[in-house]
Amino acid sequence: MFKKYFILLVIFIAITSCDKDVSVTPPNPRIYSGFINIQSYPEGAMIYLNGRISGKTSPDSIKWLEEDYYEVTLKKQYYRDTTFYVNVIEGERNYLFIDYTNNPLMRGYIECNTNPAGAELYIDDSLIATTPCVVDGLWPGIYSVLLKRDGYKNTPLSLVVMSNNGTEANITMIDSSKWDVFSTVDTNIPSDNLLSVAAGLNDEIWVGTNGSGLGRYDGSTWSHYTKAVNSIPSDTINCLKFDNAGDLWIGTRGGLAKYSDGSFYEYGMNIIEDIEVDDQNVKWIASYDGLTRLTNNSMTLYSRHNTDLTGNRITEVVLLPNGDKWLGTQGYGIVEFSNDVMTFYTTANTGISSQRINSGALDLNGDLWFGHCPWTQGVGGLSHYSTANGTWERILDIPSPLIEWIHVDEFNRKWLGTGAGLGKMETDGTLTKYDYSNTGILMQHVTCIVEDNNGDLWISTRGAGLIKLRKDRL
Amino acid sequence: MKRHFTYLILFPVLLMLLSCEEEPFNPKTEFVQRYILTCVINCESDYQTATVSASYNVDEFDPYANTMDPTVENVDIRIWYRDTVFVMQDTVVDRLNDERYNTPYKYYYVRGLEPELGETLELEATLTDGRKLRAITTTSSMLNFFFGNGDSAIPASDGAMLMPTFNVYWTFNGTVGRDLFVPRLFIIYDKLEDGQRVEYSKEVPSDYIQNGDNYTPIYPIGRKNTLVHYNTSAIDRAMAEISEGDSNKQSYFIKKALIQLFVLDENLSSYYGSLQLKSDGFSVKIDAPEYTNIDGGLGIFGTYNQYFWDINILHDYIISFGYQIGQN
Repeated sequence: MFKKYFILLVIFIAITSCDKDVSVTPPNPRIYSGFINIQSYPEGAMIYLNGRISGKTSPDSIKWLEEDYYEVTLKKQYYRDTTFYVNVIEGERNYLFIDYTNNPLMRGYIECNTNPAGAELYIDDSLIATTPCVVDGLWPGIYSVLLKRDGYKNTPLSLVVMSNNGTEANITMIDSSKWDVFSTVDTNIPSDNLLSVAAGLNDEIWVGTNGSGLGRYDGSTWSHYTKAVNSIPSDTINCLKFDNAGDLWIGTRGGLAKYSDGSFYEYGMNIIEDIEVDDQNVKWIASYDGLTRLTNNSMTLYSRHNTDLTGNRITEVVLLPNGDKWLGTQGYGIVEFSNDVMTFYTTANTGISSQRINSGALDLNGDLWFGHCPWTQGVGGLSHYSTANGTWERILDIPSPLIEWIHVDEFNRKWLGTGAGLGKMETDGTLTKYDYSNTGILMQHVTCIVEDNNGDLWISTRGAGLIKLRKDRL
Repeated sequence: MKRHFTYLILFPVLLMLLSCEEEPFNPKTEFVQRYILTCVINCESDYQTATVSASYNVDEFDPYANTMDPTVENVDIRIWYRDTVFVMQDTVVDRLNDERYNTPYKYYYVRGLEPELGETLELEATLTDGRKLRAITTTSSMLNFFFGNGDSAIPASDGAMLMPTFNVYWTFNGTVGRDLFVPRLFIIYDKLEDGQRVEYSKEVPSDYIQNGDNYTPIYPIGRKNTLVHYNTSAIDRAMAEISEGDSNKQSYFIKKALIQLFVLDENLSSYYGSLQLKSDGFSVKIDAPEYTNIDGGLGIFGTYNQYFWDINILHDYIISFGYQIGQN
């Protein structure tokens, strides 16, 4: 009995006595060997695994996968997504090839309509069809298309074709007998973002850009002038005006400058909004300092400090033959400045639609026209002042409430530079709007209109460059 | 019978004493190589870096006996943020001369990744042998962060008397207690060198411990609460240390004080807490990481934001040290 217990006790002690509590490092995670190689035609499709972008494009491999079913999606720009499933097994290598060309749904088409119809459609210099037309069976991608029609400007297009989708192009072609367009696409004009234009006596055209300085066009080539190189206070040119001596006056966001005999001269001042020149070659400068009268040897400032003006921000000057000045202001209406007496016309006492004035003009009947800027306290639009009756008329039925410029031609028609294209108002009030739909020119925002010695209009725009209009052919 | 019991007691004791006699105890277990991934995302930068290194074994117990650079090359590191994946590139830079490895320092980087608040990032690093290290982290979600209600100038006063501490508070909209704050206070100053003013900064500890003639700085450690106190006496000492040993006090131009506050996300907070990056001279510093959020390895994948706050230093206070006023 004792012997039996003794043996059991010895075995128990032998087993348990040397137990040590030792911590051990856990094993490293298992490494999986699943493998998928994905190729495609065309190459360059982004590979998604189980809905998550992998950062790899075909052809490439995804390695070290666990054994499982995987959803693989290929995404390629302009192509339909292609999804398939792969059963990945340890030790096996999966090679997949996706040929996009085997799927007819991958193709797309172009539907092209032109105004007028009958334009030839070229793709990569090959004549494909005549508009209106549908060009189908196209592989996804970007196509360089050229439209040609006699009497119209060639129209290059860049069209994106996507899988199983049609790209519709409705193009108004530019009638080259009426319109010329000077843009950075096919000329050396400094910018398409223009704020001002002026036509000189020697047929040269100057443009003021929004941040890119001045451009001069001599009929064949463009020259470029900037603050960095020339003596110009700013590269944002708000207004341009030739004086009676043929010098160009330049109103910028940084002050006034003059171009004379090939040189620039700076005159200081604040932000310049408008420049007018009277019969005596006196320059009247509308600026954020007030109204400045500038002669060859004197400079007189009319501001709220020495006149009844309630603010200094003058945006527009209209000169009358009798020497009176009408001023547009930024926020406090229209000011008649006659014999040193100021009369104020506001929304309260005249019903004009806004107290912010962007433009003004005197018509052949001696009536005054003012273009407004819409803002929180005014709807914008056009105001007409009849000098015969002393009455104000508000005109809101116009392409845009933003009127940037008013030009009066020899037929007493008013050409309006608006925030939505060019407007032409006949003497009976009939208004015609010119924009992309009937000109083919993307002139969304017209900033300035001047007439050259030939009676052609030069129109500066924000975004569409400079436009020349032979108005007698319109 | 009595003799049997004597055997019954003596024999097991003898067996226990003899049976455990084996080779001496070895604290090193069988070596298993581990991989350590470190990727700390700075949410105010679009340039992010990561390192991957392997654990190593040495014959004895001195880890510095190893002179082979443990950095792992050719790792495919990808970070998913929203619907974009960023693939890290590898590069090298020269090491400082006094470092233990004589090969260039290798790391991975990516440009263009600047995560916004409250966004989740996923990281996957695939080694050349197929081993994968994975981690997920979420950037801090605090909104409308601003400093306020604290002292606005150094030294702090109640209008009549100097206060014993300069206090900085901050507030935000978000989950309190999730993220860790690590504040640092600097004095920004210029020193005249060869006629030119050169900008320097002096970090200010929250306190000093005096041991004889020696002063040991105590810097603020990470905290969950939204305030930090700096003893006025510590600021005094830091101001004095700016020109210590230089009798020409007038060549120092004190410009301002600057609070730099790191906000660590939840993962980085835990990692920071386990390392206690800032030693206060008394706490035990743990070199082996107690915390990791790297699945399949060790290390940290976390994010942090930084906030800055300028603090005026009163002109009279600057002048009292003999310095010049650096800016109005």
